[in-house]
Amino acid sequence: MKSISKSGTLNFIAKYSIYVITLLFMIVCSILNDKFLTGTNLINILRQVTVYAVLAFGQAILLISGNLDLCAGSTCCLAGLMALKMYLATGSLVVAVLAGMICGLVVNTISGCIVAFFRIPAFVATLGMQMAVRGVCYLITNGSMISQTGENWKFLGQGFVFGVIPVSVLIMLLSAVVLWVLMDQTTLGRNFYALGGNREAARACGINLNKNVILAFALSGLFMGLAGVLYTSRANCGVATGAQGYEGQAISATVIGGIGFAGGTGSAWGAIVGAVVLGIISNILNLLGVDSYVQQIVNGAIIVLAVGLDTFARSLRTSQ
Amino acid sequence: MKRRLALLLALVLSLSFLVGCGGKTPPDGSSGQDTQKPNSDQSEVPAGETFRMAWLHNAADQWHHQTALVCKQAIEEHFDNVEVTLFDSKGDAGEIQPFLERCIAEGDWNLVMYGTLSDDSDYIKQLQDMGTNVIYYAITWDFLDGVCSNFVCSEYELAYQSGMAVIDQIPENGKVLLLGGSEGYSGSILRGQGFMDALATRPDVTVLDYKYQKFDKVAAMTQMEDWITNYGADGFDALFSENDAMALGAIEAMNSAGIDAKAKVICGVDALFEGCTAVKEGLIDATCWQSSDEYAKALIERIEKLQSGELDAHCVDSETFDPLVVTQDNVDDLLARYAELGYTGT
Repeated sequence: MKSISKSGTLNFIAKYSIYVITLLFMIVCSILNDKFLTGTNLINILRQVTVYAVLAFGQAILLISGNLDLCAGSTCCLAGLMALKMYLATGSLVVAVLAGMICGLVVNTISGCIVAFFRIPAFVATLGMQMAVRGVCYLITNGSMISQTGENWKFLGQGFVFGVIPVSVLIMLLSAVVLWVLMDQTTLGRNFYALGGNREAARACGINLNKNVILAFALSGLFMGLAGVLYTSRANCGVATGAQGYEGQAISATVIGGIGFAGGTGSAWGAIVGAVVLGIISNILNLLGVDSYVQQIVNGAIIVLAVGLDTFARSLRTSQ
Repeated sequence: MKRRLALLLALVLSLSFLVGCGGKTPPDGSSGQDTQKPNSDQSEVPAGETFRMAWLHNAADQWHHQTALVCKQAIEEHFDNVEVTLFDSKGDAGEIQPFLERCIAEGDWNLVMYGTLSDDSDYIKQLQDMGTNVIYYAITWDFLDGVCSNFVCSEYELAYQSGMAVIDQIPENGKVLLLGGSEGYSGSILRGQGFMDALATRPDVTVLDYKYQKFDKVAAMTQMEDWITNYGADGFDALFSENDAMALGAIEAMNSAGIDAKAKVICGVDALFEGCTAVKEGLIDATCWQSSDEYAKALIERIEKLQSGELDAHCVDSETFDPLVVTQDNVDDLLARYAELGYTGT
């Protein structure tokens, strides 16, 4: 009885290890700095991670289905620029959001087609797309910043509902619910897990690989497009150099959140927790006034430590 | 389906190849090449031949990109027979040597302009011997002194003069926050020194924190949100930023937190369009401009002298441009110039 209880506890800790680690991390941070656990600061952290988190949702679909998107930062930038241009042309936030999401969808569908039909590894295909899409960003802005954004553009990235709830955080949570429904409650989501878990077994089960790869890319593009809208809205400007390296942050968030590189594992909530962990690291280092050079070292070390602890906890569960 | 797609891709590739080989320089002027002109020992171009200039710039940096575009347009409008080809270093020092090797291999450039971080004397000598005049710009290195021409506006002076323009506006015993560009980047180091020296003229002022945010608006915004949490809305009096974009990001964070940015002393560097707009609106108190027009003027003069034979490929003749402090007093002049160049911020 005692061993069952011990095994159950271990299982629980292992299954929710990243959440437990995040909680412990927050406790440590609150001891280190008394301003950390204030409402304003926690809301700040959530606002700061929204773009990474929504990008991570897109990346999560791809990693779970055994793919990867190195173009995510460029897609985010282009989608944001297209959305902003559409907003300036129409004055409608809804049209702008749709334009951004459609832009993400189109870019990623092209990547998906390249991966599916030409059997080019996603790593290579999206690396090529990264350069091409960034080039388009320069082309449409001529390298200069779009700074005259109009009165309401920043509402999505900087605005509040009822004066306290950030709009961007609401959008992030809503996106997480959509991703959870997609991945956990639909056949398509289960197909993605099957595809990432074991490609050949998925084929043997009658899953159309090409169709599902393209769908995974297309759906991830919608999230990346939305992330682009949030990015330009938060920045209150459009710039061709925007969101550079964000694909790395999105991948870090998903991996920290327990979505394995090997595919077939992970959840939407993991991606959100991963992004929050990244945000907390950056925030606490700033609050403690840690030097910029040292921040990079600590940042990298904590990410490796968090993923290492999570992997260790999982291996404990497997050995049980 | 697969075959059709493969066929379509092959067609697109063939067409791209034909267009690429058959056309002149692409409309944006980037990375085109023309190998018709034989090597020569002089930069002087015989009548009817095209004078070719290769320019390695960092398109990811707004000032560098803007300057390259402004100069290209000015030069090509001034001369009928000059072609400026822009190459993108992507902000990567590793792109510099391959660029110089490419210029040497092609051997038909009359003028090469580039920014560098290393001693490229051997490459420069080879280019000069092949008839290519070389200019490096936007930074000065002792190890290239006398090796090739240097067009520069001091990064140190840009920050120092911007800082000095607002130093007296900081209240007594004021507290200052500093936003740095990129760790280890020479331009950042010099701008940082410029700000620190300006602040050193006010011993009563305290620097609360100095953080690098990669010249990025969003990163600076996040940094300012954390600073506001740490020091409070009234815990700082001034912000010195190594470019205007970061200052604008910090202002966004202040506005979002309900802080009146106009009540703080804020200075930046670059005076690009959006920076000047912020000066006009009273959000940024001062910024500092290194004029793209000055670069264009100096380059036109250099090309004229090279074409006429007054100067040859081995000529080493440097130009130092004075920075211009931009405040409410003169911002309209600069905005008018941006309007001429077609900048509207949209």
